Amino acid sequence: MNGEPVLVLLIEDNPDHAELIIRTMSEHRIVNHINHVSDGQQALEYLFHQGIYSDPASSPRPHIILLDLRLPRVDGLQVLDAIKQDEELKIIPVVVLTTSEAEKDIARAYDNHVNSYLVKPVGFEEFTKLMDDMGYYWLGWNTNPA
Amino acid sequence: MAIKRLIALLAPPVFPGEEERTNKAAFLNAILYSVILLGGAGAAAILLAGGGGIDTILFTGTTILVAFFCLWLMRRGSIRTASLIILIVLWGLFTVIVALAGGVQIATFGCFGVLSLIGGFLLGYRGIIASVAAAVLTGLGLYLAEMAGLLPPLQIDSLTAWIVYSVIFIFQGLLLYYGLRALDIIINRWRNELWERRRMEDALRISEDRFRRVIEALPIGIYLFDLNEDNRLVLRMSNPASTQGFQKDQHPFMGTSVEEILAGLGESEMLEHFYSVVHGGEPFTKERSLVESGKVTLAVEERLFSAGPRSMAAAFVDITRFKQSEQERESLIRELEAKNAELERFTYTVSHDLKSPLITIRGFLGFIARDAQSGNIERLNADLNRVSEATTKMQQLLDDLLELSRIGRIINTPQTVSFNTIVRDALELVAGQIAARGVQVTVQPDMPAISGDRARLVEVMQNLLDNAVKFMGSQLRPHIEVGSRLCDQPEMCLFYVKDNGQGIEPRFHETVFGLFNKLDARSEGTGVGLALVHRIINVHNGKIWVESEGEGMGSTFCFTLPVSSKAAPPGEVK
Repeated sequence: MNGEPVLVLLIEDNPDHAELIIRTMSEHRIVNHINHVSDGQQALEYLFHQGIYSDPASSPRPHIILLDLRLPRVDGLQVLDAIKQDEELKIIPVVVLTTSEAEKDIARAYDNHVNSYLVKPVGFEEFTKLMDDMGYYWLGWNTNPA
Repeated sequence: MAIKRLIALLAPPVFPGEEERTNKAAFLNAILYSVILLGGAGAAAILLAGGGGIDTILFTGTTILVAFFCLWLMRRGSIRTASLIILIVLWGLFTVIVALAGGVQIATFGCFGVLSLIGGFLLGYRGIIASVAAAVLTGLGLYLAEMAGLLPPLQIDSLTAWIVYSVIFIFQGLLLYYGLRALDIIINRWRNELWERRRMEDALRISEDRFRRVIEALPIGIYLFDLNEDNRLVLRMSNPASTQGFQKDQHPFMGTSVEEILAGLGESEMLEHFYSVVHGGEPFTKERSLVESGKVTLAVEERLFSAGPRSMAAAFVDITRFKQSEQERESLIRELEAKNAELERFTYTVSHDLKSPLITIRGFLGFIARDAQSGNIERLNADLNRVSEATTKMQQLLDDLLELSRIGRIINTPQTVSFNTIVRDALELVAGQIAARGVQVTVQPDMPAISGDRARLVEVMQNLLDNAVKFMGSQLRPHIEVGSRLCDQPEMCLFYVKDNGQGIEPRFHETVFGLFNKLDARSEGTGVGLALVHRIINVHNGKIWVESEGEGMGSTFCFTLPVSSKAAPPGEVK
């Protein structure tokens, strides 16, 4: 992406899942940095530069947001809603990455204008394949807003 | 054959359905044939006897011809005209005969009596008056003519007198015969009508009786109102079921106006509907129910409908049971829907939470293979550790699920136990944590005895106390208070566990009780504790909720349990 460092914001409460995602994505040459927050409240604080993220330098604007749905304190769908209601943030692609295959969750995510909905696969090969494809698609093939 | 045809030819016309007319026609028929036969025979007799002459033939011939003309008229249905013509002709004939025979003294004058009778029979009251007047005036005319010497001298012999009287007798006989027949017809008709009326009255009475019995046996209250001469609706009838809505002495009397009845019931707003219905408006239906503390205690459907001209009915159907079962059904449906939704959430949670460690296990197994290949022993150990922890987590989740499913199925026999005993047992189990955190615990003495599964309720208290200690936050003087309060349901008692710990934001007050819901991802446990507590309280028909003003404000967990009707066993109360 024009030599500009590519930043991913990962919102994931399960530390093992976060580690899996970070490890698989780090193997790409596309992603330069992944910022990880472990609950919805922290995610909102990061995005809106509040609390410990009140210094904008500590919370740079991500190129893409990977969002888990079941989060402590503030639910993933609420975070999604907050992002898509915000004039500045709504253009950032948000990819939901969750274990949930519940129709209700899928419908509500799309209602809240999610850009993509991915279900975490069980299995190493599948997991790495999905992260690869997702990375190439959203950060390689896809033209994102400036 | 010929005779039959002759009789048919001579028979009078029959007018179907018009007995009186047919009877008059038969009489007129007899009179006309008599005139023809007797006129012919009389004239022949007089001629043979040497009396009379060309004038006798002329008069008698004309009369016979007129009689045939009248027969023809009668068969065409013009009975009155035929009667009138023959009466006038006979009158003329008699007048001439009497005048020629010498005046009012002769027997022939008696014919006028017969004539007036025939006139009366055929033409009614006017016929009688006209023919009597004609007879009297003709007699007077003949008398005056005789006085003036205009009439020939009296010349009648015994034979003529006999013939004349015979004719009179025959006519009288005919008259009497047909008169009696007419009377008979009238009496018969009158009798038939009377019988028919009595039969209809009986049928009406039976039918009315039948409907009255049905209406009186109906479980539907019915009031019948009529419009009186002032066009006000007044009560005309009501059935026994209608008394249900009233006190015994309040039931309205017959004749009471609808205004008065409705005012007594406090339903004057219904008045316009009553009058609208009686004046031809559409039937009106209204449902009203009496609800006491959320339950239908009485429900009635009122129907107003027309009961014929100037009459209307009000029916009251007791639909209480219907409404009650409807309410019950709706509440069951709501309950079932809630249970379904809970089950759906549960399944979803379970599948999600069990899948999560699987992803970890399978994911890191891949990395472990890579670690082994690359000889990165340090990362291999760390990854193995993650896999191991994930399997432990899964084991825990499965154990918790099993435990949760047991609560709904297995419940120990309810026993009466002082709530203080339960708190004491639970405090013993969490004594370690309490001491470690230095928490001060106050327990209200003499709390009520409750009825329930003792072991499970100890579990509830253990969880709540454990949570209170775990989420004390940075509180320097940690304190927990256990107590009871009165509940708005008399058969329940409210208990609470209050702490001055980190508190819970209002938006999480519902979700804290959800399965595997954890407010702090880093805290210990699977997040099943409060779901378990919630389930146990629910199984005891109680409710549980949390009161907290937010972070740092402490929280109070409140729940209700059924109080025991029996006293706690002695020695149990601490």
